[in-house]
Amino acid sequence: MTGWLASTFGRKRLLMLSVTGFTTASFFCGLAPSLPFLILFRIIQGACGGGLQPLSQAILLESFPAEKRGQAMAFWALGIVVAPMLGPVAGGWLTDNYSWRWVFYINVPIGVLAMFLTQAFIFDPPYLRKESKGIDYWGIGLLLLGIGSLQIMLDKGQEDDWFSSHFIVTLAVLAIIGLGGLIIRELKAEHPIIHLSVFRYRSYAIGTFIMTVVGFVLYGSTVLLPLLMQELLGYTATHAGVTNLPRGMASFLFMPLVGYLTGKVDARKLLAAGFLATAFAMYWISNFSLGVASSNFWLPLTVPGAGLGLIFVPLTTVTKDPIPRERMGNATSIFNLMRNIGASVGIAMVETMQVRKSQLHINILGEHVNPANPLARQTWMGCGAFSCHKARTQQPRPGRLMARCGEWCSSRRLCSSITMCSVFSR
Amino acid sequence: MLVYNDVFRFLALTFVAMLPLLFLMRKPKKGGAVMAH
Repeated sequence: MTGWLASTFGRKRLLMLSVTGFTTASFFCGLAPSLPFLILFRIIQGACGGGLQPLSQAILLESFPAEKRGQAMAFWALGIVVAPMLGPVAGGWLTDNYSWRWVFYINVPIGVLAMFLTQAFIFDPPYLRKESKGIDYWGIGLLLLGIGSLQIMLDKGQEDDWFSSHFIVTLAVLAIIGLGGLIIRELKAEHPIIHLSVFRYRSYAIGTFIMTVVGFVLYGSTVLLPLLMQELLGYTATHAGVTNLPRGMASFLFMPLVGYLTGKVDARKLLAAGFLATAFAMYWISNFSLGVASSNFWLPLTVPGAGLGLIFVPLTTVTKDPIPRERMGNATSIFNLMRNIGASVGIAMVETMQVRKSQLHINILGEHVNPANPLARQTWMGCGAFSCHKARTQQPRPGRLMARCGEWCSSRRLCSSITMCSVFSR
Repeated sequence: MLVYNDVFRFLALTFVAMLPLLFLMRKPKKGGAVMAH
């Protein structure tokens, strides 16, 4: 809705309102005396903060000539890619050393500075206000129904076992009605809140789809890595955060370079390099075993960090290139919305895959690894003097147990060992 | 661990599958300054 709101109320006014609302809500989140108050102010913070990304991106894309947009987007994307990686580390440090309230208070001086800068340097382009006409209430209603139902469905899906739950089925139906109705409505409305006409541009349509997939993979892997480190490898939150740092650092260092290259090299080639590098790094991590040291993560995490730099900036540049400036706000809103939807789908799918694949592997191991299988018994004996029973009694966390076993066995043998731990120690 | 290996492999394949789509996008223009303010 940001594009429509900006054209209705003015971009500068909307940006000021968003920054002021976000900053004030952050302050009250810090002061919150109870959980309900904290949730209430978090909702206000989210509602005000939702417009910041598309607004800032649209302003940057319009403010710079085409050959400079790559560099401008590189600095913009630094915040988008690096902040989610540095945030947990900084937040953990603030919480450990001061209080969780400072995680919110830290937004206040930055927000006040942003208000002054917005007031001084942002101006509405003349064409923007000409658009403000009627309000498409049906469009707003269908958008809220569709996106709201979809988000709750993705969030609760795994917990409620997806479509075996009536609640999830109801949400799915509501999401289809809401989003399907929204598309029909916006194609026919005289003054739509979302101009779907931007999908006529081939690069924009494909780029938006690719950005959805990037959100899917980026957030899916961002959820997965801390889980792997903390649950299976037994790292503390701080240790996991520090181990993930090379990813953010590589993006931070690489993005200005990518911004420079975007104007000189075919952006699609940079994109291809980014996708290949990130895919290679994911494949590299997929070959890790439980015996992996934290230093073994540094290089495989540096590669996707640099790869994301190669993806974000050129993808934004190529996708938005054909969009006329009066549709830029609308185009950036949809682009960012699709990345967020991709992220929600990615997180939900990764969680579901984890549960379903776990069950599958346990079934396969349980079928083949048992005391009657001579090969399994021989492998178990080969694991040496380590006693899984002893490890289990001394270190009750399964992650610790598996990590300890990992010191003794290679990954495939380890899996057999873990299953045999349960089979033999019954 | 095998579960994590499977999921990371799936994510890697998803990215590889995007490669042909990249070249269906048009090459961006280098000129054409658009100044808003």
